[in-house]
Amino acid sequence: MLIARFLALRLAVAVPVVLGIVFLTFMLIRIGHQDPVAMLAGPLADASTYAMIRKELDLDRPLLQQFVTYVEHLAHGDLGRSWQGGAPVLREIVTHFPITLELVVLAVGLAAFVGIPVGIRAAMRPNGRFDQITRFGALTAFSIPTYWMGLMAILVFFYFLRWAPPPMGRVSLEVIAPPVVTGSVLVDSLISANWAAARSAAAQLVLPVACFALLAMAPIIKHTRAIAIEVFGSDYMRFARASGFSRRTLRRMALRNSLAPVLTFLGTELTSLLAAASLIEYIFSWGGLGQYGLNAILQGDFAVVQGYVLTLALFSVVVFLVVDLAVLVLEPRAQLRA
Amino acid sequence: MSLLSVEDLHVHFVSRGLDNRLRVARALNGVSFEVEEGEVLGLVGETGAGKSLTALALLGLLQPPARVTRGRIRFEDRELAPLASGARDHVRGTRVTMIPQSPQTSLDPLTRIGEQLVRMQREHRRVSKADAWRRAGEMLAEVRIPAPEQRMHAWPHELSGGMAQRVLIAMALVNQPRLVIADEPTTGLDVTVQAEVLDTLRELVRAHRMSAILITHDLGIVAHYCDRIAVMFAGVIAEQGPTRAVFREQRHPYTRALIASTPKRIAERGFGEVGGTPPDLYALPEGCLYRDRCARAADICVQPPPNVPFPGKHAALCHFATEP
Amino acid sequence: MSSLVLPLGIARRSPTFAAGAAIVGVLLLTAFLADVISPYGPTHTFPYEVLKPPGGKFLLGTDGNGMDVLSRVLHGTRYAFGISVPAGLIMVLIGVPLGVIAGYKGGVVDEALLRVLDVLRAFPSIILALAVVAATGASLVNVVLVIGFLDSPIFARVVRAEVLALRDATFVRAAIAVGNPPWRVMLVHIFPNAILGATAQLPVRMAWAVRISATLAFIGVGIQAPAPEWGAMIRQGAEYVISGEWWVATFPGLALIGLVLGFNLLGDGLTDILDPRRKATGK
Repeated sequence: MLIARFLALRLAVAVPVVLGIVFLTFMLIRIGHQDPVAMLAGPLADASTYAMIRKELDLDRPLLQQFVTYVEHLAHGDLGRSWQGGAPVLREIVTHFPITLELVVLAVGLAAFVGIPVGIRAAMRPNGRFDQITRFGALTAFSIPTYWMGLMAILVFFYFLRWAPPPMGRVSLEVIAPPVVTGSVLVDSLISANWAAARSAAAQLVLPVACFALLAMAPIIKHTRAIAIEVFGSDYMRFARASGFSRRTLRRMALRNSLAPVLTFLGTELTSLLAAASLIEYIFSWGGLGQYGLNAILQGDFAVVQGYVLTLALFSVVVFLVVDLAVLVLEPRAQLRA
Repeated sequence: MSLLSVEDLHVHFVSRGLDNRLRVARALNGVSFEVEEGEVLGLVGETGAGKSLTALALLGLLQPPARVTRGRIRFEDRELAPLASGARDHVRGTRVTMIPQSPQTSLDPLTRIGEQLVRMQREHRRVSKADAWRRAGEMLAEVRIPAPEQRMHAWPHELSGGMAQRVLIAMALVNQPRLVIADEPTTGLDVTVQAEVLDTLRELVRAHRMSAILITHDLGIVAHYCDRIAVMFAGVIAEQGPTRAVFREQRHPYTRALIASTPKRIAERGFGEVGGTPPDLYALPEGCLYRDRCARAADICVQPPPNVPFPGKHAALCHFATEP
Repeated sequence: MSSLVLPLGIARRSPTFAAGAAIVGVLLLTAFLADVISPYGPTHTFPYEVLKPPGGKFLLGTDGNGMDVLSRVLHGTRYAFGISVPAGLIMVLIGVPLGVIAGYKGGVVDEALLRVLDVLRAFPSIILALAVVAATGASLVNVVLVIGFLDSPIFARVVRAEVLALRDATFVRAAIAVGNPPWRVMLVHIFPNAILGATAQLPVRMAWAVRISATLAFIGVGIQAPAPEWGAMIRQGAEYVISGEWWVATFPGLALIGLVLGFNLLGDGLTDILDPRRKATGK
């Protein structure tokens, strides 16, 4: 009951935000961009071809009207077609999305796995040596541009050490790719017991995930540390310590109380990383949504860009919703507020 | 043999200033007092006098940059370490417990009340969940919480201030401690609720024959609920003795000023001695720490004052203690 | 002697600030003296010395066009500062008043700001920057404007939070009670204090500006070669990494890291100094 009401409220709020985002993108990409008609028509077209194309693409109508039409189509699940090859945008997005998702989830997972304990340890002795070293390390890692790190990783691990496979896609060309079920080569090959492909997929994943995780780790460490410091210094922890609780109990208390804010933060990370994935994909030729969207932006492929941005926005809405639901379950205080 | 004896406790805080020089705040400067069995001691003083710090030392909650430079704490004939050690302590939580300020934030927000009481027991003793649960319910009834059975399932944020404070009292007493330290247990509570909570506390302390240290800045509370009083100032005990005796006749100028500044006395006798600013713990005067504010200060006060004893376990830290 | 104590004291008090200031200071100096200290012109090509490894005549090697990497890296500081400083100015000029008004007056301005922040939260700024610059063309001015505008709401949010806290402060209430009109309260009482709190954010935002402009350049949307912008240089160098000519991409990257780190340290250090309480809570 409570959950249903909560969901309804959140969705109601989300709709205008998402629409706002779509509107923004819609307008942005049309303002001042090089004329798409010219691009589609080619250099040899004449005036009447231009007019015809323009009419077909609805570009001769006022902007707002175009937007309304777009939203109408959206409501029917029609995201339009890409101007590069004419594929329906929805289908392309659905195919590409899991590829990026795999990367992002693995990276965030790794970053959280390493980062959260580090952040907690740093919080136990604020401004102690471990803390200062980790803070500096995190800051430095955060200052490294992802794409550069990817390049350096390729340089060191592929070119010099020959440890990593060539950064060309998600699975080596010498292996038979498994049938697509989830979109993740790793998962699909495990499902179909194709061990060679699984191994290759895993090998290809190592570098991009590692680079990505390193980037994601810095904010995770920083926020976990802040949350942990607050928890450690709280009145209830002090009382627990004064009551002679064992270290183990104290640790468990601290962890449980940190869970909700950390989870919330991870949600934010996940969404911002989804967008940052485009650069990693670009470097490693990953072929995911990020790369797809990036190319579309550069090419001015309106429908694809709109679809890409819409996907990002929807993803963030869903992630925040799930996280907030989880917090609702974990935190009795939140239930009071909701 | 006293239950608790604190001898010459000195606690310093060390930090670095802007000019990178070491700065030392001398927070406790030779605190000595004793608490007998069954006795309620009121620890009073202005903000910064060191009352809470003393409690922290007793409970082993002191952490760097705090440093104990001298002194001992003996409880039940055993030495207590004032600094946090991190190891599980079977003295704290069982034989010496705390009733903290801010009741609502001192309870674990993610655990129900009953479970917290159970946890308090099982951390220190082998007791079955069922037994602990039952005892928890009994405890809640003892602290006069209405409908204790229901309250066992309540969340901390569902309690009012007064109720939360009662729960904390229950948590402090559930393991039958010998000494309870209540740190300003009535801040933030309504006056009527204050009285009720303190009454309950006193009843239980008497019933279980416990000792208690009541930390407060409210002299009225001390007058009503404490057998003995210890007045703190700048990290020393200026005067200590039986409540009645001290209220009747103060031997230390600071105590005199404190008592004179209660509204009742002001109504009777008008404004007397003026207070002043709290002393700078980084730059305490030599000799008597009160001399910068004392109306009675004289040349001799540059020497550290003696702790002059009086009949009835009464003592005052002043060169002029014997003079009226 | 005493005039030395304060900076030394600050350095001891916050080594992060000192480190950050030193790094940024050195790079800023480099920006000014780039022409003087560079061995060659940044776009001067040596057609027969293409892709020379570091050493000898070319300390950091040459790139695919035969241009000296060292000179280009040094001149890159001009782009980095030339973008982050004006962008920072825009952020402040827009973000601070916006934040003050939103925090103090509330109402429509506040609501609008919150909605915009909502949108931005779901919409990673880099994509936005990308889209806009792709749409409007990759000139230096555009990049500066986009970055400046993009980060102002975030700046405004920080200022707004400070203002909200200050609004209920006693001295402000006193000022109002005495009869100061709202605009005066805002200007004289709230503004200076809110600025202090938000100042620590500025270097961090500038670090972000440097990063985004480099990323845009790397993707091919921002400043382009042969301009010696670090991101553009990394873009050029990317194609050589696989074949092992690592120096073209590595050195601009190192410079980039250095400046971004410097700004971040500066920001962290400022927070330490201006609000040591926050350091305790770790925010």
